[in-house]
Amino acid sequence: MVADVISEVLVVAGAFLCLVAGIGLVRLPDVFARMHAATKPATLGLLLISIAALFQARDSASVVALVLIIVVQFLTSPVGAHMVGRAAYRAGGLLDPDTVLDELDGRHDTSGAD
Amino acid sequence: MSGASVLRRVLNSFVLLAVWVALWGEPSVGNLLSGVAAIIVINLVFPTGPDVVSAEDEGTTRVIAALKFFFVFAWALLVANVEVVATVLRPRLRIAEGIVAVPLVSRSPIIATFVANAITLTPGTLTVEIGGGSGGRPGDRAGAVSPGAASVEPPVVLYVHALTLGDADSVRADGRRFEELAVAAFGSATDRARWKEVTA
Amino acid sequence: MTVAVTIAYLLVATGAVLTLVRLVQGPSLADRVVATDLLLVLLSCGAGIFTVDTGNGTYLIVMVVVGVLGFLGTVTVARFIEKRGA
Repeated sequence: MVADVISEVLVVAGAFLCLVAGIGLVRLPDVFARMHAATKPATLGLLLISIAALFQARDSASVVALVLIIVVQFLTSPVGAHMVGRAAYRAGGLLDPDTVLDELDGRHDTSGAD
Repeated sequence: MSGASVLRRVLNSFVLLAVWVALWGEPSVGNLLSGVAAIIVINLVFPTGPDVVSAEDEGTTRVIAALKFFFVFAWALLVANVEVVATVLRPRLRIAEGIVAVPLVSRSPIIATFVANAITLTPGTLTVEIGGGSGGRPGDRAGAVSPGAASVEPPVVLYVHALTLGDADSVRADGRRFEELAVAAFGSATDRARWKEVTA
Repeated sequence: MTVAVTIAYLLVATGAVLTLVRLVQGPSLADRVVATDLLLVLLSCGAGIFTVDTGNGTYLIVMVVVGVLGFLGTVTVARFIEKRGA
């Protein structure tokens, strides 16, 4: 069945992206780079796996849950990454390859509460 | 409360109700009733809603432009992941990190949020810090024109961390492109006017 | 289908093990919270693969809850880092 083939391809592709996310976490030199690796491939991987599951799901409750997952993931992952990134920057501790640290150096506001 | 914001609350409440029913699985009478009860409680506990945007910055949504925003964003998401995968899997790790300041024309925090999130999910970029804009904290006036004038909001600047930094300007160009699409789709009249001036 | 699903499980599991490495190693708290967040996403992926495998949607709602709670946790730790350092 075509749906099965699509699901197989998507699920492997999605899982591969999850693996890349893990590899990135280990290989990359500092927190910010690791966040790139952790958020983008993982989000897309989850998306692909969810679509694969959509093709296999037997009941409408599953479809709804899958759509919810996708929406939640897309809304929360960039915000979460941003918050950790901002906190990590303010806490201080970047790595050396800072080619262009445009103006963020003196400008950020460390008053904490938001 | 203006008519527009009441409408917005009602719409938001419907969306919340839909999510509630979706989480419980089936649109049975019990679920709908409990959902309505929950919505009423939420509206009582948060009577004014998230009023972060000043009146002049309230946006209007244009459906076609919004669709365009989402398609461009979806495509950028795919491209981004290909790049990240290539970067991570390269035998000799070659990255050039940097943080680039991307000034936005708009002052609305909603537009800033859209653009910041779009940037975070796209080619090797991650929004690290957001400065300025309306709805910010009182101490936060980096780049304000005249500190005394309460109605002049400083422009929003996004600080974007790039993984493989080619040149700073291309990052800014990407940011502007997203902002242009976001304003066309969700921006307020003032923002659209500002954009017209800038691109004229 | 079974071959693809098995491969998928293996890929995700390997990713999870690597994430664990970073969780233990990662010099700062920020590294660890990123690793934790990723681990939760991988968990959701695992539940998704299960659904692809069996067509059974039981664990999907778990994915939604894990997603939301994971986000809450990440944001909480992020604010902690801002106040107390990584």
